[in-house]
Amino acid sequence: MHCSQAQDLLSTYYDDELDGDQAALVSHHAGKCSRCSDELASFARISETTSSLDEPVPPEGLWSQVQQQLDQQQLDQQARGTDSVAPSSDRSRYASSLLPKLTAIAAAVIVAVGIGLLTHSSWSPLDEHQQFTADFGNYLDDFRRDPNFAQRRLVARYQGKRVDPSQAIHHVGYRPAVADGLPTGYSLEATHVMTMPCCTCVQTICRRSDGSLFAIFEHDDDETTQWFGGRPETTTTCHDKECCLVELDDQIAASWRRGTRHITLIGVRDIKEVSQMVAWLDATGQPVSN
Amino acid sequence: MVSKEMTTRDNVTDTAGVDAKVLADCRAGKRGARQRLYELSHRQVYRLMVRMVGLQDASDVTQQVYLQVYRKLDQFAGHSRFETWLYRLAVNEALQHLRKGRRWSFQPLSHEPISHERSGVDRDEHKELLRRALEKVEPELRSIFVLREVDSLSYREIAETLEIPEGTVGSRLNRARRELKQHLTDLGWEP
Repeated sequence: MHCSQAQDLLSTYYDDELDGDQAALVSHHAGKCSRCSDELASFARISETTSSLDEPVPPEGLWSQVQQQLDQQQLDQQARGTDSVAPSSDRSRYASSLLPKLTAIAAAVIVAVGIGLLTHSSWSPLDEHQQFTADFGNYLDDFRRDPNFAQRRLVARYQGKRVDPSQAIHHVGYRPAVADGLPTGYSLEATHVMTMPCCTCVQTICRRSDGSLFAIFEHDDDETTQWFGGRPETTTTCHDKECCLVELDDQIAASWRRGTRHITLIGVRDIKEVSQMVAWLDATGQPVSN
Repeated sequence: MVSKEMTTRDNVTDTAGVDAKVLADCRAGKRGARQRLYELSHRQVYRLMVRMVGLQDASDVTQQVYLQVYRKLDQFAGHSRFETWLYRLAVNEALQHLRKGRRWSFQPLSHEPISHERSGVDRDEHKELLRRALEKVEPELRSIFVLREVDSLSYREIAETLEIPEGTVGSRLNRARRELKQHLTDLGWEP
């Protein structure tokens, strides 16, 4: 075995994860090669020191802090569940869709109660806001991995209807922010109107010059917790706007108030890109309701 | 030549007590079950966080891990061991925390470098140097090193946890160990 081959296999050999034949070859080589045997010895010294590191002791009050945050989340969810009155401008749209929604909710409750009785468990159905939070939790995860898949799933889940941005006003009662175009280097891929539990929103998928995608939602609802899938948020200032942010590995979700509504971005790269979008959408003027 | 057996540690896991009933009760929102799951697993999670993000931030990130655990528990389908799922979640949370720190804040140099001419450092000093060198290792490589050396996961378990091919675990560990060794050498100890 050549030294370079042995070098590639040193960790696997050292960790006893190499099959017998290869392990014998590496062992034979290391027996006569000072470079490889020295490296194995250094691996061992590092392991020895690592295993001697003091075992860290978790602070005693840690569980109380976790429990406190869980309780707070539950209170927030309950508060949202009893405070979901539609804005007056949306009431006519809500009235027309109230009956099927109530029917669907009633059906869900009947099914849930049935399942509960059958299983004798304490399981309880998610309300539509909890479900929305869960759906967006999945959307954020999916978007990071496969934006097209995430988008298809969301469109199917919330009856997304593809529209021309300039025509979205007929569905939501306002001219969406993206109707005036996007900054240089971005192109508009598709715009949908979606019926969410909180409101009917306009969503636009944008494509960067390198082909990657991110999403812009314009919505009435200001509950960023739901739009961020229940993830913990950080607040910072982007181009003089207070923005709520969530880190998603190598991406960010961001939300800020624009006039009477909110803009939420999913899949942006960094603060700089958020600031760029805030600046651009600010420059296109404040929204005007129809 | 160094014996491999010298450094092999027992893979004893506290999370073995997290059974289907505990998970089902957690999903149902039962406080007692949530606390039980925490008690059975938090030492491992906290230890991983200390090695990944440092002592100062370990508690905060551990809290975030458990909030995520309870929020995402419905997504755990039982295809892998709960421990693997938990480690995956914890590593992702740690990496996210480290990226956030890199992007949003300036991290000052918290240690003075040690003279390269120094010799004869004792065992405690080696431990301190190792902690400092580990902080400098690129986070993804640090996670694989910690899963192997601190938590004694097998290559298959590491691959499942990090969702990478098992065949790449060895080469990444090579990189992690060599990077760590270089940082240790820079700090004054050539292991």
